[in-house]
Amino acid sequence: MVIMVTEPAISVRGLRVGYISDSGLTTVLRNVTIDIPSNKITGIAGESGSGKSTLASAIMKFINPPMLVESGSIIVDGKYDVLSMDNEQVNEIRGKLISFVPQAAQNSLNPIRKVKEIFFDVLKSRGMDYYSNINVIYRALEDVGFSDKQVLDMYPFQLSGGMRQRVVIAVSLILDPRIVIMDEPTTGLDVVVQHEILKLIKRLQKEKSLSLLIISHDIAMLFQISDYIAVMYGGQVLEYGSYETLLEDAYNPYTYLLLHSVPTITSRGKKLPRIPGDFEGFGRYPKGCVFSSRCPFATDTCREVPPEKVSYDQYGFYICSRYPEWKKEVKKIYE
Amino acid sequence: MKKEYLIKRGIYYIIIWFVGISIDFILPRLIPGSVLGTIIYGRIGAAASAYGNNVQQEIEILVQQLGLSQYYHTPLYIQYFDFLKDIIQLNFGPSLLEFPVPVSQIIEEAAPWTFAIVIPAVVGAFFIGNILGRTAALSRGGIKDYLIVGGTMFLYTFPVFVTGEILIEFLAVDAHIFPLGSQYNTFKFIRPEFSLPFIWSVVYHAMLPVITLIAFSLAGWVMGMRNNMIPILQEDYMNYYRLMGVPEKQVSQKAYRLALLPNFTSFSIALGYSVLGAIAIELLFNYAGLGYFFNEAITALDYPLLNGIFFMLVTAMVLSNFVADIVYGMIDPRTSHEETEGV
Repeated sequence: MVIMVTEPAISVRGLRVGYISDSGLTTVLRNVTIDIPSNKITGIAGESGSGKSTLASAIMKFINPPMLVESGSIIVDGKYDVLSMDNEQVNEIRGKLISFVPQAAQNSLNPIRKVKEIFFDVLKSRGMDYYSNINVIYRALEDVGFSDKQVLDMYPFQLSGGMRQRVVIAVSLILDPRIVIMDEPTTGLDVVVQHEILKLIKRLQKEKSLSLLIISHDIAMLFQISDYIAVMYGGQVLEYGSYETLLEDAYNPYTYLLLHSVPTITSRGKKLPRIPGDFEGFGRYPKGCVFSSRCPFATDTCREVPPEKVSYDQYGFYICSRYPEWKKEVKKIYE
Repeated sequence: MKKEYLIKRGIYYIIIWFVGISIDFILPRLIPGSVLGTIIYGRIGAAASAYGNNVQQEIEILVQQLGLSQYYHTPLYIQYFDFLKDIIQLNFGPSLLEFPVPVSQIIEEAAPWTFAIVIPAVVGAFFIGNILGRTAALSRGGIKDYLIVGGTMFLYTFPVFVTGEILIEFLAVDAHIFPLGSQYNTFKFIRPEFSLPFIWSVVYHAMLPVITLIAFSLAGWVMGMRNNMIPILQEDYMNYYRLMGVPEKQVSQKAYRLALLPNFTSFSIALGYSVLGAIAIELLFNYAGLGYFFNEAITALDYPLLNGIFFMLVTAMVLSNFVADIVYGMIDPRTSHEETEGV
């Protein structure tokens, strides 16, 4: 079998990011190393406070106090070392090479600007004219499923949640970026609209061969759409790999538990496995494996010694010192 | 839809205006004491006892003289309707203080002087304050922020008459840079005329009152702008611009525009208020505007003049609020577009 080695779209190496507070520096991302493949959809799953949004901000170099990058590097598109670039250089690639789609539920569009004025603002910042690029804008709107141009004359508050999300996608793609980060693209939308947005994302990714990075807490949604999935917990990537691998043969118990805690039609009446306890928080970070205190398979070694990272192909890796032993204990614990 | 909004607001303000005018009618009549009694007492003074029973007769004569007979002998509700009728014709009757000059003439002469200091002061403070507020917001926590906020708050803690007094002492009395008071050089010009030297004289005399008013009111605009702008700078939609590579300078311009909206409302209202906001200043600078006459009218219980000035105030307030609404509707689409589609 020939393994195609492709240049990753985003390459994160040993990233440590923290937040400065009165009590000192709280490190959130701990030594995150991950490659995001080109022309694929990669999902980052994790509960709130797992560091997934911090990771996205770091990739966009959207680093504002109290956020602080302690160490590490991020290479975008093989040549842009974003963390060492100054603001002007970063502004140059933002939107053009690497773009960002914020959450729909939040107010991502300037409330006193019409949709066309928001396009206008973004184009103007590049010295581009709105009217000479009007066809590009029409195309962008068609791409996200607006057949009539009326939406251009509307204000964000006149749009529904799904429309707003599509407008944001259109604006984010207007400068024809190759890499797009989406933050919770379906959160706050109802199921039907969620489905439409996912279909749209999938179609756009294929048509424009985008490298997509989708951040969500909704692991079921991520498995629907992603080619690769990273599972984050407590500021670390516990497991990363193609979705088939994770779905069929999770290496880390956390992935397994997450997937099996999603209710399905067949699970009705059955007791779902649950993950006991809460994450300790970044202040009282565990000495050993970050998940050890909640992991039903954890041993004393897990709690004392941090597990090694095990890579099994160009992208895939996992962190767990008890694989594959814990797999045998699954039945024992849950049945 | 835009028209409907205007009509809706218009009706609302007409009702407010009507209520204000009604209070204008009731309020002076609730003040204890009688204006006629005061005038009579002033006329006959210590000789009152000699008049004895003739007081009633004196009152009748006075009522005749003041042209108040139709008011004096009619019940309150008829007076009210007459009052409304007169007000629509802008007829407030003669001033008691400067009898028989009609109130409308006093107001006509005084109002331009008030506007001559108040409008430049409000406009000036609005512009300077907003720009300072923006500078403070953009350097939040920095030295500029502390200097601007601290400085304007320091000026704000002094009442206008103290600031005015200090400015008069140093700039007018000691340094002779500015005149002491009055609206124009009364030695040079006997009455207002339309000539360049006269206009210059007016501007020159208005400077110190305007500076005093600006110094006092700056803090409001600065704090308004600064405190509006700081959270807006961190809003998601501003971050979205940044994430799309829009340079910080353009982002802060958009934040400034958004933060300006609430200040626009305050601006129109400030204009309305300032008809009377300058009482202390007008007294201090011996500046014969509306505030000056308002003070005179209260002291002398000159009801018609009070009514007239109060009418000006109510009208100015209602109008300025209406204008604020219209302007806000034009610059902030969220207020005039009422139909929204939910998520």
